[in-house]
Amino acid sequence: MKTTLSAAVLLLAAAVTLAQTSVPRSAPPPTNPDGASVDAILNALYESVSHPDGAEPNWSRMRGIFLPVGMLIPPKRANEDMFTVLDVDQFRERVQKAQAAAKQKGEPFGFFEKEVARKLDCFGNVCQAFSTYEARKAQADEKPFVRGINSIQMLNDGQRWWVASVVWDTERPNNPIPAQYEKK
Amino acid sequence: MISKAALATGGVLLAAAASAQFSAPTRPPGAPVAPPPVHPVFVSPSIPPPGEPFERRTPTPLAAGNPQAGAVGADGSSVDRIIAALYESVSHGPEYEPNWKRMRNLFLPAGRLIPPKRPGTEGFAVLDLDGFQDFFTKGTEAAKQRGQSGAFFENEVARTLDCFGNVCEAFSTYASRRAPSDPQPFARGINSIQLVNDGQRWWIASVAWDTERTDNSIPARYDKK
Repeated sequence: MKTTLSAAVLLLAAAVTLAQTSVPRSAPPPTNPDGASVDAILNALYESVSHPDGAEPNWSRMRGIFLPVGMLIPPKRANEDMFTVLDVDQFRERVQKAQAAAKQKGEPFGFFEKEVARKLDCFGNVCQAFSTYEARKAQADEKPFVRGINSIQMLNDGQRWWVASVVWDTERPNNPIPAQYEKK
Repeated sequence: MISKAALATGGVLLAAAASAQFSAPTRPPGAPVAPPPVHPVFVSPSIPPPGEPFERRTPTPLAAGNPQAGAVGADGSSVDRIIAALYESVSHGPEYEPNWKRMRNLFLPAGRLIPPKRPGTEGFAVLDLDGFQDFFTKGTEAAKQRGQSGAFFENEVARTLDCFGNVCEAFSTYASRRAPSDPQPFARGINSIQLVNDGQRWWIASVAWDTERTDNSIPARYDKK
């Protein structure tokens, strides 16, 4: 009894300390069908980012896919010292800026990204996907204007899947997509 | 990444934190309204609200006499080196703690660690290095209170690695022991490790893991080096 009590006191003391330093964040309800499976959440990721010319990605859907502190890390630009780490809202600002620039130049800014291959590793409540993508300006375009691979870290909270982190790189002349990541 | 006992403690702490404090993050004017607070995630205070930049934290000095003075500058030179440094920096003898300075240097300033969600807690704990240091230290204290050794030795037993350009992801199977000579580990599991290269060196962006349990055994393909 005494041991139980002192253990409880210790936990409480520690809990008070943590409560003072821990900041809760809010997230969408756990009933989102996009979180029902790894397939569903990866499909939702590609579907939500894709949009025709004149439109934007489906931001509320994308927000519902990511943990509230989920992050996206685009390839580092040559003029950047360090990687830019974005949450969904910051990613939205980045996309809107790019769209505004394209509009000014009179270029179309439709964006259709799809998965062409996936290597998946799962254990318990953690999965990571190495997901090869291609993106087109219009769905009917024969060739994609860019290809690359998304590294996607996902977690299951017992109710649904969440995307914790998406990091990617693009295909370049000196960085071709290896054959093992080319097939579905 | 950390003992079951430490995680159980973390779970209780997070549950307590959930009832003790709940408030929506402040957002800059004109920013989109956050969805309703239904599913909390607990975030280290140094991970800023959306829209604010991440800042690198001042490294915590090593405890005097800590023998783990690894070659910090070389830890990012390859994927092998940085993963080895992750396991080396978290491992420590009974009178020491992880080499926090070395570990901090492995992660992007915005890098994070996500321990398994404990049953009964509402959301994942998403930790930066400060948060992980708190979390880990409390786990060690709890182990000592139970009369167990505070030592922790984690090593990699297998790795599945996928790389493309400046991005790698490792599915890294680990075993944890209280002493390096213990025949059996007291915990096993798999770390999902996302890595990025800035042209100069490798960085860890995110580590999420789960532990082996009776109903969650490590598949054979992740069990051999």
